[in-house]
Amino acid sequence: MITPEIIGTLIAAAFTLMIYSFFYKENKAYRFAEHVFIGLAVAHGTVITSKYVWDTALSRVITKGDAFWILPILVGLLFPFFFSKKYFWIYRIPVSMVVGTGIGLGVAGLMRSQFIDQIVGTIALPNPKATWYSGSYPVNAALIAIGVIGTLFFFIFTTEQKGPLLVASHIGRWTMMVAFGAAFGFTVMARMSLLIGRMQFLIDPKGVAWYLIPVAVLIIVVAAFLERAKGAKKS
Amino acid sequence: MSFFDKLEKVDPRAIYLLLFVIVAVPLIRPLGLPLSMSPMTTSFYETIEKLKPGDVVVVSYDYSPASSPEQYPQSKAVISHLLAKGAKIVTVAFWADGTPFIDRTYKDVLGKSSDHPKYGTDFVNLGWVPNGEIGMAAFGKDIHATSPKDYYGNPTAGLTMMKDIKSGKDVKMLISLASGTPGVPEWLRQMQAPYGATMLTGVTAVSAPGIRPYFPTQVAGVIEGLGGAAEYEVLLARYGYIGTLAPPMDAQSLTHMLVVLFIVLGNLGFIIKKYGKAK
Repeated sequence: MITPEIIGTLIAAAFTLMIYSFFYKENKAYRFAEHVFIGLAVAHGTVITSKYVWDTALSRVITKGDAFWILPILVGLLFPFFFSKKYFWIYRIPVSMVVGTGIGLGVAGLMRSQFIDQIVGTIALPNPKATWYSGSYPVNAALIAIGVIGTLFFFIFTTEQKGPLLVASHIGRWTMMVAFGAAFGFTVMARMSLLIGRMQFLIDPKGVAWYLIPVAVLIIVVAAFLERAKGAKKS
Repeated sequence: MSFFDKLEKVDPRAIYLLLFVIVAVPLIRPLGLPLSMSPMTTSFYETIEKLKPGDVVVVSYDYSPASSPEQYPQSKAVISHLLAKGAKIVTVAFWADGTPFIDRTYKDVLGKSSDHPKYGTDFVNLGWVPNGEIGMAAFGKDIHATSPKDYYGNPTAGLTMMKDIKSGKDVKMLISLASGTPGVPEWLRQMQAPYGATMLTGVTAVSAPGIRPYFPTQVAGVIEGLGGAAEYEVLLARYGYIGTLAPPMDAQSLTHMLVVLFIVLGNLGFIIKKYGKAK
């Protein structure tokens, strides 16, 4: 029996395969899926934002007569001026308020959580009783200390880097290269995880998504065959 | 044409196909490859273990469907663990696209969400809060004003457990399942630093190197990507939690081996061609 869940799974599988068809080459199916995905994300965002505005502000104005909320609603209504060439400047008012508040809040917390606490975290002595503590920790801590100091020296540009300063700067450069390499390795791992997640969905024997795999393969084979025939005709 | 010359001219689509096969094989027939345990995952687990029944934990879903293969298994494991410990769970999302995953997690873990008898007493779903870091600051200051209604339209003040949970001061622990901005640094600035809540995080592998410097002083534990989630599932086995990530981790290991193989071949080819030309 065809249930809404089965239809939903088949649609999801079809869109997944459309996106993966990009591995063969750029094509209209991929473009269609990409546009639908963006459209859905925007639609979901619009609906959920509207619901939040209703719950937080509009319903209070209408049901409780809480006039305070009229002000933020009016400010919010200035956002659509983004689409007007003539009155674009009005759009800058709510944007400046949001950006200003964000920067104010961010900077206030930044000094403690990302500057002072980070320095404290780097120089603090480890707790050998902690569950995460292992025999390799002192080695790691020493490497971090050398790496941090070296990286700081790398960014000293006010004096010519020679002698011990150059050595420290080289240590900093190597530290950063290792950090970038680790970041790249993690990125590969993350991308593979995404592929694995989709593949799990597609080849799940309990599901119906795999029904579409032979269909997709057939379409790609036919497309490749037609393309080759077209190329042969031209030559 | 040498072997390495041929390798340089391989159609990338052949590599993609090989990758698909390498991923599919262990998913169909798991290999049971060994899994190591990271200190960050252990610390995450141990920190939750220290919770007492009734402790308030905010779990923030700061991710979108794009990172759900990594983060949804983390979410399920974390919520299961918190429920087993008897914590009062306040779930919220600061990414609009992450909101539906909250409901889905409770349905997958408990079989029900808002219609579960413990909804409102042991766990709540406050849905989405907009505006990123500004929203987080507002949430910490006044939860009821920031989320006047839950995801299902019930007034937050009417939910039994929320009567005593009004601001960041009432929160014992914060768990951010984050894949970008707003995420961990924003929570550190707006909740961990001002209110002193213990912070844990589950992140994507891409974000992990950026989060590691916060461990262990500011973030008490980190689950890193799919690998971290698999490690956490192993630790949760003592609660009878049935993990699903062993086959994906086999696939992960095989794909890494393939990537390493290609890197070695590529470098070998480069060195041989360079010195071959020099001769």
